[in-house]
Amino acid sequence: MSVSDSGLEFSVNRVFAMVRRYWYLLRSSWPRILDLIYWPAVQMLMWGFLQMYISQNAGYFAQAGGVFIGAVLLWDILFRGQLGFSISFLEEMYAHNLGNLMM
Amino acid sequence: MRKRLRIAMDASAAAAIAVDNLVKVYKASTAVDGISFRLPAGSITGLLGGNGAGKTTTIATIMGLVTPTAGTVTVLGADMPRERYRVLHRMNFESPYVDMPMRLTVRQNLSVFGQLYAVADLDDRIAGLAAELELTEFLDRPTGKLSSGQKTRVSLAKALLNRPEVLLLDEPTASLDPDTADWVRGRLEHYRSERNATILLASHNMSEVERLCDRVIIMKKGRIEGDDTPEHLLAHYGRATMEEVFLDVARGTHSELAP
Repeated sequence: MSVSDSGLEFSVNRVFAMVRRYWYLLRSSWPRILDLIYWPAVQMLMWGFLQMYISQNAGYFAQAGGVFIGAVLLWDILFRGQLGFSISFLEEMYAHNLGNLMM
Repeated sequence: MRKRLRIAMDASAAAAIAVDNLVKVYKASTAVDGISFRLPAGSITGLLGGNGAGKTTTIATIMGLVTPTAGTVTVLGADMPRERYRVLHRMNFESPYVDMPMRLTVRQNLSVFGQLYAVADLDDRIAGLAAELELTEFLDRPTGKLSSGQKTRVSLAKALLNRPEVLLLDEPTASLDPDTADWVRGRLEHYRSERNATILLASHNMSEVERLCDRVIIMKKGRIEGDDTPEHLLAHYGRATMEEVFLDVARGTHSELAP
C-alpha cells in the first residue's frame, strides 16, 4: 500500500518487519520485558483496583483523588507509548542500524 | 586477463546511475561541488578520494538519503530522493560503518531485512546466501559475537538479499585481513557477472580498485579530478600503480605524461 503521488509511502510489510525486529529483541532480553510489560501491569492493577475501591466507598475528596489516580494511569499509558517510540529510535541510532532501515 | 570495459561517455547511453551537476552544501561546508558522471548497467566503478573528498556524501545522495542542494541524481530512471521508493527494492548498500542489531542472531537479522525488502521465498533465499557466503554455521549466533570478517560477510548477505541491480559499497573491505578481503572481491566479481549488476565502490584500497573496477572516479574536495579506466589514468599520470596516481591527485602533483 503506498501513496506515491504525494511522495508519501507506507508499506504494511515494512511495519511488520519492524515489529518482528523488536519482537526478536524483546525475546532475547528479560529486563526489557520486565520494564515494558511486568511493572506497568503491576502498577495498573494496584492503582486501578484502589481507584475502583475509592470511587465506590469514599466521599467527595476521596473520589477526586480517585479520579486523579485514574488520570495518572492514563498518562502512564501514553507516556510509556511515547517512551517506547523514542527508545526504539535511539536504539537504532546506538546500534548504527538506522542507515540499514532507510533502504 | 580480465577484459576491461571501455566505458562510453555518450550522454544518450542508458545509465543505471546518472549524476548531473550534483552539489551538496552543509551549512558553510561544500561536500560535493558540481560533479557529473553516468554509470552504465553492469559496470563496477571505483570512487576514490581522500578523507573529506565527498565520496560518502555522493553515495548517500545516490541512495536518496541526502537531498542535493543542486543538481540531479537518477538511479534506474528514478529521480532521487523524490522517487526513491520506486527503486529502493532494486538497490542495496553495504558499509562497515553501519551495523546490524547485535543482539539479534544472523538469521533473525536477515529475516527482518528480507521482510523489509519484501523478498519472496525468504527462508530459501537466506539458506542459499548462507551456503554461498559460508555463513551456515553462524546463522544462529548473535551478530555482536561475530568477528569483523564474519560481520562483513553478514553485511554482504544483507546487501544481496533482494538481488539488487545497483549495489553501493562504502569501503567493503575496510579492516579486513587480506584473505577475507580477497574473498569479498571474488564474491563481488561473481555477483556482477551473474546479475549484470551495477556496482559503485568507494575505497581506499588501490589494489582492490585496480582489480575490480572498469572505471575510476577520483574526487578531491568535492570535485572530480579524474574519471577514466585505470589503464588510462595510469597512462595520463605516468604512474605504475593507482596508489601513485591517488597520491599525485591528493598532493596536487603531476608527473610528466607518458610518451
